[in-house]
Amino acid sequence: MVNNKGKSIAVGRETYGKRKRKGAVGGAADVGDNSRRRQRKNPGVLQFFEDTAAVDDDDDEESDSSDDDDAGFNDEDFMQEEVAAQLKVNNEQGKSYNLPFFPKEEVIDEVEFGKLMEERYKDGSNFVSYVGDDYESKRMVDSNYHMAYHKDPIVWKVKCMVGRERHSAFCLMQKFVDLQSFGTKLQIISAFSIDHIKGFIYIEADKQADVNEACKGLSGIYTSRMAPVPQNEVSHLFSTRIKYNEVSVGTWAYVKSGKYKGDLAQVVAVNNARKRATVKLIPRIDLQALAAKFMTACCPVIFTILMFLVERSRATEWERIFLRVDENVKLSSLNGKIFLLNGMLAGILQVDRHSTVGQIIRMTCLDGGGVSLKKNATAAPRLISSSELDEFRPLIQYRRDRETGQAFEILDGMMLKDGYLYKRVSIDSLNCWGVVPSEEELLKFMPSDRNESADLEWLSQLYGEKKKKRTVPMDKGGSKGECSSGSSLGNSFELFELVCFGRKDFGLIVSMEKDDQYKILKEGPEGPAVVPVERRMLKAGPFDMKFTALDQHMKIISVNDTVRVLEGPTKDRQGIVRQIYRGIIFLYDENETENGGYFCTKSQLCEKIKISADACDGKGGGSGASGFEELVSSPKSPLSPKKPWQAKEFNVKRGDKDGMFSVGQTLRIRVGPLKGYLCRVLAIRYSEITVKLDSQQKVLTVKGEHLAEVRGKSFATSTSDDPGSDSFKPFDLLGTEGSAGGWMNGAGTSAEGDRWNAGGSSGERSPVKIQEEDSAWECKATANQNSSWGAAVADGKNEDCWNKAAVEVIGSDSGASGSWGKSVVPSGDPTSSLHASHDNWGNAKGPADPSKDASSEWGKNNDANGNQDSCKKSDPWDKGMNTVGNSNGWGAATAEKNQLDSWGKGKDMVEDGANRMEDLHGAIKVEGLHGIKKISTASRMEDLLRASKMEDLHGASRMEDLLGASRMEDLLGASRMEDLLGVSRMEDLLRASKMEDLHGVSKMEDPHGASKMESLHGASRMEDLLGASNMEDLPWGKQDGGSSWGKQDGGSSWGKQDGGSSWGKQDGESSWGKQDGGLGNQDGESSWGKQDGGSYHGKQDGGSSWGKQDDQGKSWEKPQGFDGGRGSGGRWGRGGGRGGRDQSGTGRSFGRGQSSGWEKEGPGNNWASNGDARKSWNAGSRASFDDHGTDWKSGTSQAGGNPSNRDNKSSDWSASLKTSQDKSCGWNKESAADKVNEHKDQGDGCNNRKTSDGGSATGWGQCAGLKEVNDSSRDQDSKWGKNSNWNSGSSDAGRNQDSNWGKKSNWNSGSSDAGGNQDSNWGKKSSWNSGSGDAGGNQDSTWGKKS
Amino acid sequence: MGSAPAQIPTSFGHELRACLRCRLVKTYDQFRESGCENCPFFKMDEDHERVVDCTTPNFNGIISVMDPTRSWAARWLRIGRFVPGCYTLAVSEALPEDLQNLCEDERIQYVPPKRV
Repeated sequence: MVNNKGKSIAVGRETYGKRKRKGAVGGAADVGDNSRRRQRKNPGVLQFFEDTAAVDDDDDEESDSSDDDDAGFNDEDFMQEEVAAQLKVNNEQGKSYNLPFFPKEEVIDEVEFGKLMEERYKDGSNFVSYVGDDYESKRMVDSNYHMAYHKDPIVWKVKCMVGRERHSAFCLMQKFVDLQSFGTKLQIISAFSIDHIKGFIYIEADKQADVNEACKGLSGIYTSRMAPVPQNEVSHLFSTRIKYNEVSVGTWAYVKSGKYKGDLAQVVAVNNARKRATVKLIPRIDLQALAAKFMTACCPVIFTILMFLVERSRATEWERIFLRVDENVKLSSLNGKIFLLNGMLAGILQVDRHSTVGQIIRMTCLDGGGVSLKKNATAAPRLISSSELDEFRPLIQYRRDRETGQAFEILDGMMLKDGYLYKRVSIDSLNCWGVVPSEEELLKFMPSDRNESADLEWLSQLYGEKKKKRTVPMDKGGSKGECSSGSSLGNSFELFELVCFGRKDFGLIVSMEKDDQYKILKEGPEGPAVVPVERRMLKAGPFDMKFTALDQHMKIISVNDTVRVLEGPTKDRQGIVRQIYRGIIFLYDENETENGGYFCTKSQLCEKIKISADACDGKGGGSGASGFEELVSSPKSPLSPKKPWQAKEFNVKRGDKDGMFSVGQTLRIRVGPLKGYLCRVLAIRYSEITVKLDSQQKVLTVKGEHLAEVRGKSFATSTSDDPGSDSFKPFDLLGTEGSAGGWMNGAGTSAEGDRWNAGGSSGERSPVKIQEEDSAWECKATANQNSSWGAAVADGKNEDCWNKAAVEVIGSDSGASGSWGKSVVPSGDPTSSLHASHDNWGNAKGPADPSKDASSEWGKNNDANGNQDSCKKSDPWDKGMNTVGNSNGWGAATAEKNQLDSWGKGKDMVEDGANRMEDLHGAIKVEGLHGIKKISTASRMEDLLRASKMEDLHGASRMEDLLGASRMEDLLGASRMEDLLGVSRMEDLLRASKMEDLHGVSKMEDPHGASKMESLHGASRMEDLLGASNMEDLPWGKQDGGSSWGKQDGGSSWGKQDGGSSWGKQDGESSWGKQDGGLGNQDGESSWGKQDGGSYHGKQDGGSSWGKQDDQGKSWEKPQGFDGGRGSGGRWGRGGGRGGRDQSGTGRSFGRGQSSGWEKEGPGNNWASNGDARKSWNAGSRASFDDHGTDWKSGTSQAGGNPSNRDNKSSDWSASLKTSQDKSCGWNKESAADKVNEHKDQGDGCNNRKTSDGGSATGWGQCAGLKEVNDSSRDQDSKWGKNSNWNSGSSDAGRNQDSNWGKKSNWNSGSSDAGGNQDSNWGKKSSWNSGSGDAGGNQDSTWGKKS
Repeated sequence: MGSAPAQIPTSFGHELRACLRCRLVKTYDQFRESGCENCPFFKMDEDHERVVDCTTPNFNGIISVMDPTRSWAARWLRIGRFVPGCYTLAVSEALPEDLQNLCEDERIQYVPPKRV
C-alpha cells in the first residue's frame, strides 16, 4: 500500500496538511480518532510504529486527494510544517522533543523560520500533533499531523561497517543507478550517512524489504541490524550543528588526534571558511627517519625473515642489511621480495647475479630503514635547529604560506620555521576549550614568540626540560644561536657561559665585573679577544646549538674533546673543548690563567687529539667519542638537544657511572617479560628509570640494573671516530650539537635497537640455527627434548634421572641436541649419511657426551635402581655409549665389548651377549636418550642375560623385569627408569598399571598378565616400536629389531624380530612378540603365543619373524631365550633377514652370551650382514610389511641405503631394539628406541630434509615431540599426535608412524587395560601391520582401530 | 522521477567536493569535466577555476537521493528538487559573492548555509 503510493504520498503530505486543515474540523475526525486511539494504546516509544500503522488507515483516504496537490508541494512549506510542528511540540509540551526543534532552527534562517512559525500557528493544532500529544489528548487534530507524517517513507537505521558510511551511501546510489539502467528500480528513496554517527547509515524506504533488497550484495551494510527511526527523530539527524570550534589566532589548543595528539599548539592562522587552522607545534620529527627516507638508507637489521637470518654485516648503521640465506633457498626467488620487519619495515631484497647460494645478499629498506620501524613511535617533541636541517637543505623548499603570510621551510611537506612546526589542521581537531597551557608548555613556545626576525635560527631549549631553567630564550638578534651556554635565568649570566651580544657576536663570559659589565671572550678577527659588554647587551646563547665542529682533519670535535690548535694566534695550545658554536670552539686549558684558562679558536685550526673521557659523561660532547654517546644524546630523545653541561649535571648526579643512563638513551631491558625490548629513557630517578617502550607504547619504570645499554656502541664509536665516513656525515650534520656522532649513534642505536630487539630475540637463536642446521636441529630438539624429557621425567619416577639427563643434555650443546643429541645427532649424521646410522648413532652418542653424562647419570640411575651391576654395566654402557657416540653407536657399543663391531656385524655382539645387550641397549640408549636407561637396562640385560634372561634381552630384561618383578622394577624400573621413560613408565605404568605405558605396566604387573602385559607392551611396544618403527619403521625394523632385539633378547631373536621383521616391520611387534614372548616365557609363553598373535608381526614384518619370535618366545621361555631366541632368531632371521642366519653367524657372536640367541638373532647376523638381513628384512618388511617395507624404505632407514644403512641402522635399530628391550624393561627404551628410530628416521628424514633444510628442522622438532611421547606413554599419545605432525613434516614413513603412534597410544591404553586387549590389540596390530604394510597411513588407521 | 541522476562520485577521498549551491557531491574531476547537474549556470565545466570557487571539500554527511521528490530527507534538506544523486547534508561555506550575484542574475535561488 504505502509503498506504491510513490510520489503521491510524499506530496500528499502537504495535501494532508491542507486537507486536514479543512478536515481538522470535520472530515479527518475519524482518522484522527483512529490514530489517537492507537497512540493511546501504545504511547511512548512505539509511537513510530503506531504512526506507521496509522498510515495504512489513512492511505485510502489520502490517496485520492494527494494527486491534486502535487504541484503545491514546496520544500519550504514542508520545512515550515516540520518546524512548526516541532516548535509546537516544544512549546506546548516542552518535553523531550526539544532537540528537533533547535536543530531546525539552525537550518532555517530567522525570517524563514518566523514565517513558518506564523503559518504553523495559523493552522494551529493540526500541525502540531506529536507523539507526546496523545497523552494530553487535548488536540483532536493530532491525526492530521500523523497522517501527513505517515505518508513519508520510513527512515531505517542500518548498521554498517564503521568507516564505510559514506561509502555505503555512495554504493547504494551507484546500485540504484546501475539497476535503473536495467529498468529495475531500487525502491529505496534515499540513503544518508551522517558524519558524527559512526557505524550506521540511514536508508529511507517504505518497506524494510526495500532496504534489504537495496543492501543485498553490498558488503559493509548489515541489514540484519536495522531499525526504523521514529520520524520525529529523523530531523534530529539533520539538525546537527554545523558548528566548529571558533578559534582565533593566538589561542592555545590541544591537538586532538594524530601524531601530535595532546600536544599544545598555538593557533597562528585560521581559515574559518575551510575550517582549517594553522597551528604552531613543537615538532615531533624524527630526523633520522626523515634522513632514512630521503637517503634511501639501508638499515641494519637483525631479524629472521622466514627462513633467513638477517645478519648485520657491519657496524655501520645505514649501510645495508645483509641476509644470509639458507643454502636451499634460491636466491633468485628472493630478488625484489619485500619483507616486513617488525611488521612495518618494508625492505626489498636485492639479489644480483653475484649472489650465490648461501651468500650474503643485500636488502634495501624502502622506507627509513630501522627508523621506520619505529613509525609507531612518536618522536619526542623538540625544536629542530637549523643546523639539524642542514642535512636536508637540498630537500627544503622555502615558501611563503598564504594563510599565515610567513615564509616557511618546507621539508617533506612539513612547514618548519624557527624550529617549530607549522601545521594546518582542521579546526575540529583542535581542542581549544579551556586550554590553559602550563608555564612550561608556554616556555617552549616562547623563544619563537620572541623571535622577532624570522630569520633567526633558533632553537633550542630543551623541550620538556622542566628542571632547567635555562629555558629563558634570548633574542638573538640576528644571529642564529649564539651562545651555547645555557642561559641564565633572567639576566644573570654565569661565568664561562656562552652568550650572545650585539648583532651576531657571541662569546664566553670570562669575568663579571661591576656595573653589570661582563668580559666576553670572543673570537675576533685576529684571534681571541676579550671585550667588555654590558649585561643588558647580553643574551643567552642559543639553546640549540651544534655542539660539534669539524677540525682540520674533518674530524668531529665535540665538547670535552681535547684539541690542539695547529694554526693561528693560539697555535700549539691545547685544551679541552668547552663550548662550540658556529665553528668557534672555546677551549679550556687548566694551565692557563688568563681568562680563566679559556681561549677560543676556530675549529678548523685545530686538531682533535683525543676524546676526553668525560665525553661519555658529557652528553653532547661525548657523543662522538664513545658508545655513550648514544646514551647521551639519543637523537630522538626530547632532551637530546641538551647542552653538554646539562648532560654533565646528569652524569654528575648519577655519579658518572659507566652504567648511567641518560634521558633519551635507548636501552634494552634485560630481565622480565619484556626482556630484550628496547626502550627510551624518559626520566631517571635515582636507580629507577622511567622508560618508554616504543614498540609497545608503554611507559614503565624499571630499575637501572634491569636495563642494559644497547649494543650499538660500535656504531657510535665508529661514527664518532669516523666522522668522515660518508654515511655518518649526514647524520653528523643532523646531529644536534656535538652529537653528530651522537646522532649517528643514537640513530643507529635506536634503530638497531629495535632491530636488534626484533632480530635479537629471535636472532640469537636463529643464528644458531642458521649456523648449522644440525645445531638448529639441536636447538629444536633440545627444546622439545627438554620439555619432553621433563614431561617424561615427571611421568617417570626416574624423573630425576631423566631430568638430569635431560638437563645435562640440554646443558651440553644445545641441550636437546645433546640429549637428543644422540638421537638428534644421529639424525644429523643420517643426514650426512643415512648409512652411517652408526655414525649417526655415533654422532648421536657423540653429542651424547652430554648424554654420556646423562648416560653416566643413567648409569647412576641404574645404580640407584639398585642394579649396581647393571649400573656398572651401565657404565660400560655409558662408555659404550660414549664410545658408541664417538664411534659408531653400535660400533662403540661393540667396541666396548667388541660386540659393537659384532653388532655392526652382530658377531661381536655375540661375545657379550650382555654386553651386546648393553651395547645394544647402549646403542639404543644412545640413540634414544633412553639409550642411557637402556644402558642400565643393558646392564640389567647383562644381569639378565647372565641370569639367562638377558639373552632374551628385552624379553630377558623385561622378562626378568616383568618376571622378576623386582627386576622388572629394577630392571625395567631401574633400567627403564633409567631408561627414562622406560623406568618411570615401566614402573609407573606397570605399577601404576598405566598399561598405557603399555608394556611396562602390563608386563610388570602380570608377567603373564605380564604376558599380556608384554603383549600389551608388545603391543605398546609394537605400537611404540611400530610407532617408532613406523616412524623409523625402516631403521627400526631393520636394525633395531634386528640387532638390538636380537641381541637383547636373544638378542638375535629379538633383534631379528624387532630389528628384523617385527621391528623392522613394526619393530614393536616382533620385538614385542619377543618381548611378550619373553614375558611370555617368563610369564608365559602364552604371551608369546599372543605375540604369535604376533603373527601380526609375521604378517607385518615378517610374520615369519614373529613366528620365529614365537619360537624365540619358546626359546625365551626357555630362558635361554637365546636359544629360543635363536630359534626365534631363526624366525627372526626370516623375518629380520634371511640373511639373518648368515648373519646369525654374527648373531652367534652375539650369541655368545646369547650366541645362540644371537644366532637366532642371526637376523642379527643378518643384520651384521645387514645387507642381507636387511634385504631380507627389507624384503621381509616389504613383503610382509609391504607398506612398512616400503614405508621403511621410503623412510629414512631405507634411505640409508637399506643394506648398508640398514646395517648401520640395524645397529642403530638394534639399539633401538634394545631400547625396545629396554622397553621390555622399559618401554621407555623402546619408546626411546622408537624415538630413536624416529629420530633416525627423522634423522634420515632430516638428512634428507636437511638437504632440504627446513624439513629436517621440523623433523627434529617432531622427533623431540616423539621422544616426549615416548617418555610418557600418555604423553606419547599426545606427543604422538605431534609425531604425526612431525611425520607429516618428515618423511612419509614418519608420518605414518606418527599417526600410528597416536593410535598406538590409544591402543596402548587399551592394552594396558587387559592383556586380552593386547591380544586384540595385537590382532589389531596385525591388521595394523597389514595396514602398515600397505601404507603408514593405513597402519595408523588400523592402529587406531586397534586401539 | 524524471531527471537523470547526477554523476556518482568515483572516489571517496579528499577529492570529493560539494557544490556550494546545491550541495551535490562529486569529485573535483567530475565537476571539472561535467560541471554541476543542478547548477549548470556555474559553467564549471567551462571554467575550471570556477570549480574551486563553486565547490568545497568541506562538507558534512552524505545523502544519496534516489527519489528526491519522495524523500522526506531530501525535502528537509531542500534538495528535493534536484536531480537524484549524492549530496551532502550540509556545507559550511557560502557561495562567494560574485557567484551569489551570478545566481541572482540567473534568478536562481541561493540559500546560504546557516551558520551557528
